[in-house]
Amino acid sequence: MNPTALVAEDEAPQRRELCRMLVSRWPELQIVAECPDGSSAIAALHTHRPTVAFLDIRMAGATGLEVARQACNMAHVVFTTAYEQHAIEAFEFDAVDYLLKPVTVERLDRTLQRLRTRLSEAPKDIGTVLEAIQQGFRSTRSADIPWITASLGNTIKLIATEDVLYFRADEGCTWVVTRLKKAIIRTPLKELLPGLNADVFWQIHRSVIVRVSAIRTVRRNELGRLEVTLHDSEETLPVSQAFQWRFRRM
Amino acid sequence: MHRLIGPGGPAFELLLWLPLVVASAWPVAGLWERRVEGRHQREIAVLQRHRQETNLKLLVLQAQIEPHFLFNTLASLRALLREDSTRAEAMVDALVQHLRAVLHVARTDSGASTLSDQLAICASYLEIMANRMEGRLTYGIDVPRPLLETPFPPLMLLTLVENAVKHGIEPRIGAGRICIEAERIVRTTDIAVAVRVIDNGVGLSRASGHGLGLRNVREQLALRYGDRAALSLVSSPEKGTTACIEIPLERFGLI
Repeated sequence: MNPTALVAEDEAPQRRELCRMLVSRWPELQIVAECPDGSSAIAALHTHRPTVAFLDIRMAGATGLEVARQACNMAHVVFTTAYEQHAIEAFEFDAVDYLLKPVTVERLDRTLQRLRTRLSEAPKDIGTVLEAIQQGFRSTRSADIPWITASLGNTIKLIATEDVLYFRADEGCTWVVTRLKKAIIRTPLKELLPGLNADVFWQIHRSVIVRVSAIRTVRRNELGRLEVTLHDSEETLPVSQAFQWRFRRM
Repeated sequence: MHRLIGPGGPAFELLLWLPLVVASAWPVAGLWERRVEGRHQREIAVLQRHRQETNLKLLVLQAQIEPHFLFNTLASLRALLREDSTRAEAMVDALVQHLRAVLHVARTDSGASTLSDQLAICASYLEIMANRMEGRLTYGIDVPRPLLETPFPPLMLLTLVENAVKHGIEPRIGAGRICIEAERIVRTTDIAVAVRVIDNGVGLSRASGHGLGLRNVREQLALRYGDRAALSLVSSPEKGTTACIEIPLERFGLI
């Protein structure tokens, strides 16, 4: 039985070119599916059960990495990428097959040679590598979130974290307050906190995270409770017992 | 010593004058000090301006040709060379135009760029992307002629357009459209130009990783115009995103 292949690539000219090259360099290989996005690739994977899957990393619907997680028990996976340095290093380290775009005939021949010798074996388990790469993608994203996405009615607005004076939780939502405006987000404080720079934002109450540089004074109110006043805002914010240690040295 | 304070001696006279001389020199010294201080302040201002310019240059440099964009474009070209040499030719031309414009900005003083220059850079980028994505991307640019020669900082608009492709259209299954529009707007204290990049892509999400490019645009705007320029983004999930840059006009005498 001839080996079969799935090709997933979101840019049509590149997809056709890879298919053309495969046909000419490995005539026995039968291309059973050409997919323009990740979701159709996952569907085609289950329908056709190809021997080999060529997967672009960046695709709509599902990324090549996500498709590969579903594929790696049934098909030999070859990634294609123009420039995902982080992934490439991981592929090299774990001997995962990949092609750099634009794909050259020499490189393709080498990869196909390797594939031919391995066709009789079970596909290599690359689950751990994929997990590590995706972790890497996530971690470069979440560090110090520079923007907060706030919903205003049906629309979403980006608010620069640099503009935020404070966050205040209120009945299941969170108010984001800047010098000029107020918006509501659904993210609870405890999810926001890890993404904020701990030297710039302090939690001072169960329901309040404040920008340290926005604090004007710390005082005791008539009831003897500690509260802070802010620059650029009329609001005063409560400081709860648990967070008073922050102000001991001030 | 005794002789010095003896009456009538010239040295005595000098001593009498001394406090007067010192007293009259005080304001002069103060003036001198103030002059030095003034000079220092001017030097500090010059240094600060230099620093600001360096920061701006750095920010402009950071917004450069992405390797991902370049290699994917070349990969598409490789395909088109065989299939359709006329299209391949058009794509090479667009790529050359794009590279020239972007590299030119990086090497020269970027002060003189106009909205029309920036739209040309966006157009060459969109033309390349439309060719690569074949029918999945269409675009339009609709800017009133009188606004074309408005001074407009380099590569900011391109960042917004790149974001629209990367986070709006590419993740969308099926075809999408990007429009660039501009209008002159009257604000409470001045007149501004608002340039919008509108896409009908997937909309913003927390995970879309918009961070760096937009932060760069924001910092450049702040360095150039203080709080008189603004960057805003509004989005509806699955309907699209509109990014808008507002820049004050009247400082250029273009009211």
